[in-house]
Amino acid sequence: MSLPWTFALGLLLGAVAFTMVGALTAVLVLAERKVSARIQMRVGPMHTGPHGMLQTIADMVKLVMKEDVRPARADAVAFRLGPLLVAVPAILSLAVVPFGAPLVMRDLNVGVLYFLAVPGVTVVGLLLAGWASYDNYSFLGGLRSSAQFISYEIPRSLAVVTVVMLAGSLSTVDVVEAQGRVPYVLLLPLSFFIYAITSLAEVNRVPFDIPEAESELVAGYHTEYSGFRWALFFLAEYAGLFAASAFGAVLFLGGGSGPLLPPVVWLLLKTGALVFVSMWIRFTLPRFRADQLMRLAWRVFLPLALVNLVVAALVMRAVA
Amino acid sequence: MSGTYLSDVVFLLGFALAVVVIPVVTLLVFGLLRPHNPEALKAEAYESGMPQASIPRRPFHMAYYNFALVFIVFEVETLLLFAVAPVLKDAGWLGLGEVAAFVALVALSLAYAWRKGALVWR
Repeated sequence: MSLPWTFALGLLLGAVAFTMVGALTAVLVLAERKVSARIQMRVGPMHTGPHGMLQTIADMVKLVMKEDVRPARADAVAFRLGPLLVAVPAILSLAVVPFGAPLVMRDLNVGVLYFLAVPGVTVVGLLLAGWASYDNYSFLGGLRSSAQFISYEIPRSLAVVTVVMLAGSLSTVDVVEAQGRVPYVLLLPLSFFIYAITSLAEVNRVPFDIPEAESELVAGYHTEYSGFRWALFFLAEYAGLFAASAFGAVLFLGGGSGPLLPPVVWLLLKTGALVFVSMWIRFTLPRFRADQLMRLAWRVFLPLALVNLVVAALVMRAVA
Repeated sequence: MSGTYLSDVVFLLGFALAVVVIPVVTLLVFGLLRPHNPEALKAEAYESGMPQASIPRRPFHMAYYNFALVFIVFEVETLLLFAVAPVLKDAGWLGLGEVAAFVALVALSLAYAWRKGALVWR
């Protein structure tokens, strides 16, 4: 394919990815509210549409129609840039998710690294949004979330390295193929454990949601945002949750492979299961304290991830 | 090989452009529809209903700096591991030993940072 056509294809699939994330957010928010309602013995939203199915659609309309308020002393450029820098990388990471064998937007030969590196830009957006708001809560929230983000990124990346070692490739499609018979969760259970827990921290989910701990920081880095700009943070959160779960399914659960059903259905089922577990955790566990969170990352997960590298090397020799 | 690399980059440029342009355009279009009533009080920073007590442009906790430093060490280590990881399977015991020595050296730096108390929040 010639380069202009490749560019056009990129534009098209970018638009598809954005639409997909919008729809996904609507579904996931509703799912989250319904799951939390079940766990807390409530019924959740019931009034908009049958069983409240249209609630998030109504919320989206409300959000785009809300006034865009910006604090007078906020840094205008940085304030506008913040939400974009958080939302865009989260959506970009979906480009390499293999939704079943041929259904991948782009099979990059460095796909796995791309998936870890691109959402890494988010940390700049968090810091920028928190700083630009000229608000004490936002400032502290931005600092905390960036510290948390970079701390958990390392054990997470080290857990993913073990998968690359076994698969012998950085392409996400090859990683799925390499799991032909045995999914890596069975060969590398410790890697999966580290990946799952640190991913919760990467997407700011309970028990790692101190950046937006309501009881102490109001809403953290997005305290001053309203309307559509706030919606972008929300979009990023759910896009991140979906991407992290989909990658968990791709790296450890064999991606789209499974009997009878088409690959894309299998991948969505596995992703859905991981998303459900994270919602379950959210409404079951209390939140960590800021210092406990950092200690857990550096003194528990990082050494564990280093030990896991050795374990994975032995597994790799045993399998080969 | 370099041909696919170039087309990958071009593809991602298009992809990123679409993902950036769509929210910006949405924001501009709905800017024509949504209300706009600026008010002095509304433009105040939110501090739980009180007037802002302190200026947010201030020095922050030293511990962040420590963690950022240790982060750089390990992030670079991880990146280098990604470079060798795909070929490690065919590298034999010697290659594995070399990578293990590298990891052990960086692990030593973790032990050092730990011992020096850089990993506790004080």
